[in-house]
Amino acid sequence: MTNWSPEEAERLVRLALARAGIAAAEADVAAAAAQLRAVLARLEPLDEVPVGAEEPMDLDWEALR
Amino acid sequence: LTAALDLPLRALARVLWRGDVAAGEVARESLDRIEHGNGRLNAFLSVDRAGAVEAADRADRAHAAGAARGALHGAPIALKDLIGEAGAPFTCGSALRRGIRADRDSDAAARLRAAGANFVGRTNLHEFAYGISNENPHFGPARNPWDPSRIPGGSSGGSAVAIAAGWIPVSLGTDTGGSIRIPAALCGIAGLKPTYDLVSRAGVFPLSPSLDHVGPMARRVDDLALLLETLAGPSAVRGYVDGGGLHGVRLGLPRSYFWEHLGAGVGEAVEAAVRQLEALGARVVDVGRDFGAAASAAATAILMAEAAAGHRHGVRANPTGYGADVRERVYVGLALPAERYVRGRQARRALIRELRRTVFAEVDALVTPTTPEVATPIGLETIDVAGKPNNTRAAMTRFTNPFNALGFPALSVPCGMARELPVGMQIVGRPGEDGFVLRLGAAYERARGPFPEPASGPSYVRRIQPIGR
Repeated sequence: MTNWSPEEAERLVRLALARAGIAAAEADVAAAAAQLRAVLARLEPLDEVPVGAEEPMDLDWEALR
Repeated sequence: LTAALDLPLRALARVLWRGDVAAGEVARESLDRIEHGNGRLNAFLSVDRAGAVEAADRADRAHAAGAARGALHGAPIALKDLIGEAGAPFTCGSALRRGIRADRDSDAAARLRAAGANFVGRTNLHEFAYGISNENPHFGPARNPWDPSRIPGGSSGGSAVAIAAGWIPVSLGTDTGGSIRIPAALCGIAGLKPTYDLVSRAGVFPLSPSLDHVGPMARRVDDLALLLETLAGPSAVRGYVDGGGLHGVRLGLPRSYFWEHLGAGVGEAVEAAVRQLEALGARVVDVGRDFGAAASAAATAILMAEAAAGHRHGVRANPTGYGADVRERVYVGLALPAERYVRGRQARRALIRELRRTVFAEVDALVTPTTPEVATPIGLETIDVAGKPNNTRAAMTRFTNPFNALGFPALSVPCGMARELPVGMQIVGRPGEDGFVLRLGAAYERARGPFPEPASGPSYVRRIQPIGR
């Protein structure tokens, strides 16, 4: 998930912006791609959490004991 | 008379109720201080002098007729300009929303209004609350009263500045990744992110609904307790007492992650505060479970995806109407794989279950520094963390945003100085134990004694602005 090359990250940003109908400046695309790689690296610890069958639901304090 | 504005909130309420001071006098004093200092610190985006004076005079007439309105009768307050207040500007820190006014009170504003609070203006914030520096490209940066060349923290930076400078006693902020606690720490005031969902978010402009919290900011922990009770009812502060020892209380220090890579003097200040908690009777133990990076990652994944969803249409319609930093984060969030968002939401629930059964079975609260570093210079995009340049926003939120993902109540209380700038200590409790967290903070605060004021704080204002006019 985190080993994306700069080119792959840039391609993904372009695709996402095109799908959202956003015409972004070239400099913004490059900056967002670099930032995307950094964010994905920061998200790596998510994969160390054993989530089991946990559902991605809102917080419910009574259920989460 | 001038000192009334500088009293603890309960004491201010008492003198207003007794009629020792008129609400009109207190309001005018607050407004005069704002007028005098806002050009330098830019804490307010708008001030409603006529409305606040009129409301205060109305409160005084009601009081004279025996009809004072509530616990906050006549107390000046200002809300972050993201929390709806009927008829008031509602910019959310964005130039795109200039001229927009809220058509109704948020639930939080309505509760405060019903308690008699007097709204004096709207405080500055990071654009759409999406950042921690409060370097707002549209309205200018809010500046730290301890050193105006430095950030006050954000996104509720204007509120923290106004309180630290002595212009208002209390404010409300919002906290999605640390936006109450970070400016509280960097400006030397107290701030509480309550348990998730304890305070209504209705009428508050969302950033990431799964992580957004509304909470109080003030000079003293007891003021936070009074505000929380006003916002969420007496059960919200169950377990709170202002004073007394901490015998039998078990405090945990999560040494890995939360106590690592600290700026010079930060760890020492918080360690000294922990020793004071120990002297009050608390038992302090190290917590071995390392959950910080995972909880922070969950917060980041959820924040970026939800904020992108919320701002997609706005950015498409007017990309250059957004500041460059917020626009970039929206772009990144749009490109983030959906699997990361889902995984973040799964992980937060798994971590909550685990920590309630393990860590919070062994300790009653966790103690950490609120931020790894003191207030940084305005414009500084990276700070040094463990010898490597690190994005300032990511670095400054690393101890706070885990508890947005987990939803646990988290308090920042000023605990010392490093390099002549304030340091905050974060106290985190079990969900629903906000009152207990406030009790710990209040006990520490009493042991600590009065916290220093910035050079431009209330004492300075009193010297140059004798009242009685």
